[in-house]
Amino acid sequence: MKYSSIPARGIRGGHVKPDLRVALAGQANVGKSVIFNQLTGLHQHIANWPGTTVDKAEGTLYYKGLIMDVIDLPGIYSLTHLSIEEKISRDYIAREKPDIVVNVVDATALERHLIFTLQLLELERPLVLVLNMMDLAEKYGIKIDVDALREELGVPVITTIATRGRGVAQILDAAIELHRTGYSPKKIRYGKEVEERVERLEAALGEIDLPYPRRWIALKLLEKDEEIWGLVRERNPRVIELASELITELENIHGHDSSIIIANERACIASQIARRCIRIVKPRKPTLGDRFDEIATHPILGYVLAAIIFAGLFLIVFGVGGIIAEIFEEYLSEIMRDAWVHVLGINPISEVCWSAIESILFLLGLAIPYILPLYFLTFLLENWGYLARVSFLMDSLMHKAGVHGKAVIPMLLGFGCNVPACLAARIMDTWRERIITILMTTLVPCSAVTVVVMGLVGRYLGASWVIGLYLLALLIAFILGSIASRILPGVPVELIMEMPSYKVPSIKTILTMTWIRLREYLEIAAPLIIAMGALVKVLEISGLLDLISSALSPVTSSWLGLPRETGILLIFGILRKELILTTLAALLGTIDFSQALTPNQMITLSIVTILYIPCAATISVLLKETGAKTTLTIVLAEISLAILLGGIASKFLLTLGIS
Amino acid sequence: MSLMRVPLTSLSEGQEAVIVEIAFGGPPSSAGFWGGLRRRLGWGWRGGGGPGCGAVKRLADLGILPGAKIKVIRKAPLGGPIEVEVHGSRFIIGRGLASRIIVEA
Repeated sequence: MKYSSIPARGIRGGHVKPDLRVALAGQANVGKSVIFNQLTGLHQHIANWPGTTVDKAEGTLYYKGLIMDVIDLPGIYSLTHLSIEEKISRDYIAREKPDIVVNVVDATALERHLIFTLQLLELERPLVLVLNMMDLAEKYGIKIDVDALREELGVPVITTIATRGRGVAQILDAAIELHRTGYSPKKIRYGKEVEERVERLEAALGEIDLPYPRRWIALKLLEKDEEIWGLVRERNPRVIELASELITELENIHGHDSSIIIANERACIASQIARRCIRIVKPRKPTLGDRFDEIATHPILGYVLAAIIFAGLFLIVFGVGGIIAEIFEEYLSEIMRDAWVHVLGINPISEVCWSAIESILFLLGLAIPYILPLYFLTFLLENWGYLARVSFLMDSLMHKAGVHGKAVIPMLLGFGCNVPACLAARIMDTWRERIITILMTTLVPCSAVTVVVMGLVGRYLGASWVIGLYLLALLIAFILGSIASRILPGVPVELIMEMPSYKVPSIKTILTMTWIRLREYLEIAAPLIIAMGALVKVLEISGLLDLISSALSPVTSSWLGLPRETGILLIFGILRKELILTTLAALLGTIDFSQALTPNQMITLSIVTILYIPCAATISVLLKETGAKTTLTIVLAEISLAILLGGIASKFLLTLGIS
Repeated sequence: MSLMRVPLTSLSEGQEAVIVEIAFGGPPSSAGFWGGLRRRLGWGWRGGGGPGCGAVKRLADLGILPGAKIKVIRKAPLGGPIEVEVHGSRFIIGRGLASRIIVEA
């Protein structure tokens, strides 16, 4: 029987209670989101987990007469609370108590994934174990005795090849079956020394008022979990005293930190189970992926390949984007403008409203031609497994800025558009790493900045100047990142990530993710862009724009040495940076900028354009991702930097004889 | 031949070893110019436990802990990360962290 997804919003609006709430849990790169997308299709609802910027993906589906709510918990490595994602997942399972937890694991690396499965079992929710990527496991010569595994754990075990949709419906069958018949997992017992202490803690805990299972609390106390430690102390400080004693005993016996002892216990059990259930029928031969990796991670060829791949990516994005964007700007915008003027005439109010509409058109004109292919291609590279290789190659360089190799992905996206790039900074593990990455990303020259730089410097002074300016921008990004990493609180995190094996990308998943991200982008950016569009028009009509521009002239004219109207340009540039060029053309009445600007002014204006204030759409994202205070700090810092460096560059170029 | 205890970083590509210890880092410094600035801003260090303390737990959750067999697949150029294989899965680990993984080889 086929499952069909139903619009989540419809259910929510109608307040229909789901018959079954299913949570998908698993580590990163196991194909969990593929399964989620197979189940829910486009009828998923993406929000944020309260108080965080972590995606909360939820969908509803209809299967065998039941309405099922499926929630995709963030992909994580453990429930030993470290990152926001991990806290979210374990809190959801422990507090919201979903009817069924579906644990998706990678069949090719079962032993490691079982460690996580054991942690999930400790939370004592009914669990279905899904062995995904069975095709790859077979290819690698790994035979898994599913019945033995079922026996060992006492939970239903399903095998799937999610990218081909195989076995996905059986997950639902198993979930329903488990819900009907009840749940009887095998009790997982750790070594004697640990178990004795868990029992003593459990007894001491008594009927403590916490939503977690008692055994789990006891284990977390022994693992020195900060959050649980605090929660228990508030309720029963004597348990904490006992826990400290027991931890000291354990550490004396084993000579390791207690959290490592317990992690070790889990790893041992996982390895015992793996030994009973897994047979390697043939040794792993070097696969095509392994051979490709010889090039992809090669000290020289690797960088060449990465340069080719990303150059290709941006060529496609700008090439395809340019054509579609032209249609938007030239035809759609003009036709609508004519119709608008025809119906409403030209008066201040209609002009302000038109400006707002123009902003929406612009937003679509950016989203569809540029951001859509950018997202699609990036997800393609990620799904294939290539992006991890780029992180591997770039890690040591990114360390110079105090972040690790994963930060290179948002920065690369930044060359296309800063908006998806700042959103991509979510892949960083901690708040600190995220802020540094976002700060650096906003300094990467995006496609709109490229239009300005190419239109001025590229056209009149040549490509070497453009490359120079780009290198300058990246250098500044690295210096600022490095300063931020030194003063921001928190401990620098080193790179620990899985090197996924190459997979055939699942186009359906990529399309779904692209669509969802695109929608998110529109939802975040639209309000501020529309408001700013209208505001600038009001300023222009009321004549305030000229006033502001003259008020800015000590900075723009005297210090930066730019024409008097530059203030107007820079205000329009906040809306979208390529407007700096179009507004300049409109003010001059020509597109031959060499008549109005000296080479010195072109370079200075380009530097200011690259550095000053992120555009309105980026500011919207910054507000959402980092909050008002950090956004304001970044905006003010970048404006000051633009003024400072622009002025210095102008004076420096004069001494070189470039006026 | 007796076994030597060496940091993971000193193994060559393709070499296999058994992890014996993961060494903790010392407490973070508030000395020097940047440390002083951080202290004056009242930002200090969140999390505590010194750099790498959380990382040890994270490694443990991936099965990278004392007793596990670890194989160096490749090392990134310029002091970059190390790719390793543990329990049939491959990971990349930053060089600094990898230098605290002590192995017997």
